[in-house]
Amino acid sequence: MAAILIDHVVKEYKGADRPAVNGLVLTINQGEIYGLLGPNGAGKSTTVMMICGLLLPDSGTISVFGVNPSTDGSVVRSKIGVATQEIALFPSLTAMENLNYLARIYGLKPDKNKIEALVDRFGLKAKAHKQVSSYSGGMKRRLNLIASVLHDPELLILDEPTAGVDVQSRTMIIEYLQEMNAKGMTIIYSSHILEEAERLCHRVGIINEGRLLEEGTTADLLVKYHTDSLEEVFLSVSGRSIKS
Amino acid sequence: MKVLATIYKEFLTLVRDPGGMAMIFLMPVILVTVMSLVQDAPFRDYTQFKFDILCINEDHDSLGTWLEKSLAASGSFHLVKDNQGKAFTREEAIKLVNDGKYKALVYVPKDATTKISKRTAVVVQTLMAGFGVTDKPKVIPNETVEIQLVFDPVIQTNLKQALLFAVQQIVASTENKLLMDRFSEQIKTVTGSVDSSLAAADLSKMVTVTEQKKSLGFDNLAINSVQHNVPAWTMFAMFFIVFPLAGNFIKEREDGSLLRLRLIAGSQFHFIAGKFLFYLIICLLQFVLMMGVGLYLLPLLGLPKLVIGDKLLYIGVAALSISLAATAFGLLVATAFRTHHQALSFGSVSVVILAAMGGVWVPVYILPHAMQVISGLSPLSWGLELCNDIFLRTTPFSQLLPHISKLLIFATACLGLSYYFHNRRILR
Repeated sequence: MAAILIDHVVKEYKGADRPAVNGLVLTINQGEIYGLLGPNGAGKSTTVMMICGLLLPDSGTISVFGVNPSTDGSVVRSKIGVATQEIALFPSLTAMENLNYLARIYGLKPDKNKIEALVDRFGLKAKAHKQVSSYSGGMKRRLNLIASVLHDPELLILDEPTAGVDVQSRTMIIEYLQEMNAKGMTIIYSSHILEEAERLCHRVGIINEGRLLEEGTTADLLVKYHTDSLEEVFLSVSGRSIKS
Repeated sequence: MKVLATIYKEFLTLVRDPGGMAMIFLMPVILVTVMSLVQDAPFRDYTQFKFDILCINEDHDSLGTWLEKSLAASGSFHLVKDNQGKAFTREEAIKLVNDGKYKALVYVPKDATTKISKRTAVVVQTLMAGFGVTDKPKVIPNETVEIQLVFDPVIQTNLKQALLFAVQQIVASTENKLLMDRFSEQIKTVTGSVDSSLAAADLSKMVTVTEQKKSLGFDNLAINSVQHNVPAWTMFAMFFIVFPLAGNFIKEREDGSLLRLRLIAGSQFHFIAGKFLFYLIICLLQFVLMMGVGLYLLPLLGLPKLVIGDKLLYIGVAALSISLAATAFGLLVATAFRTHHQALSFGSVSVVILAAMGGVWVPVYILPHAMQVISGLSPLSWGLELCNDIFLRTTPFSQLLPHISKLLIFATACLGLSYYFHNRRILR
């Protein structure tokens, strides 16, 4: 069953010279880890915002677990967790205060044991009561991910979740995602770090200029493009010129 | 629960920001204290001050002596008559006043009393002739006595008027006295005796004018620096909540924290409500703090104690109305502007303009007519009038309702616009 159906969606920002998303057609199945790959400005973040119901498409339809996010955004958002590229946390609060506050905003009764277990799992226990503003980039990324899964979402969307983090943090994040996927969580992994996508994703889709240009399992794509590197596939599909 | 959690989150954010705390609580205290101290003098009744004025009395008779004594006794003026024993000439004195060394000069010319006496004698003789007891005077003198006042060009009109009025009153009183003396003499000449009570009669005190303050419910109540500045700068500080509120809101939007909340189902209302309520509480605390400054701190600095009346419930309603208007305005600025810089520039300048319009710097009644009309558009003016009505005028609650209604309508309009701008920003 499809977790997400995107059907000929177009989204153009005012004043832009071309649509950010231009007739995108995409299906993501439940229980899979889908890699949404593309250069900067390809339309990945716009697509994610439309899936969450925070941006409305100009045309086309989106369905998330059978619900239209444009009309029932709250229902959709209750089923999904998003780890944004920006560190979406309150820097003057501690990790525990951030997570307790967000749990309450999710409408949950803060589960101290669960929060402490997550904090421990992501190696933040020692600084759990320090203000987030004092954290390193990697620590903030890990906490950002915890904040996205507090409500046990059915779908987790990650936008560059390992940008600027050290190898240990990256490994910790990848292992956690694999563990969650094994428990049934659908994951959309938006990144331009192709080795990670190759290692983690069941299928990848390469988008550019708002269109899906190529899609398939990593193995299929490597065979199709006669290469042993996803990076070569990516460059072949999206072009070698630098995007804005 | 979500609202309470947001209030607690805002509390933690604020207490960990010493600069923000100082701006919200310490700066207004300093502002209201400094403004009350600085504006104390201009607000005071001039009789409370003693100004050095030069006095040249070339008359050396009743009028000059009486004028000197009366001015000295008024308590408002300290008469300077010589420089280390050497009397000033008129020219020297005028130069000293022009140079700003003294505020004014009172010059009583030579033979002033003699000239007045001659004229009063003629007036009395004319009256007595009407009764047939004396002959009509043969010569009617038309000399006038000119007491000259010279003022420092920079002296304020109020002080000028005060001295002019005091001199005129003393001269009138002297004229009356000389007239009564002359009457006594004439009667004695005609009858051989005089009723002593006639000479003692003081025509200047036949009518007295007193200000009735007790009928208003307070004793010795008058607008003063504290009574104007404490409510006025309290309004200013409360509306300046736009600074921390909009700053905090836009910072959270810029650093991505608000995006997190946007991604949580149904969190927006609770988040906005929690933030609004937190800053509403801050505004109320500012009001209480400022009133405390007026009641307890300023008297320690030698200023009058703030009079707030005895209608605590009315004060509570007023504080809530003003806080609602101020916080809603802050939220509007926070949601309407995209960047920190835009919001804070607009927020601070708009509050300063609204404060100027609303009579925070100077009371509205001394503004030009056009400004008084414009002043009626400022929510700070409504708040200030509301405080004055409760503190000074003992206005019944029904008459406070127009100001309260205006503040609540303003708050509702700001909240409505905030909702519109916020939704427009989160759902494009």
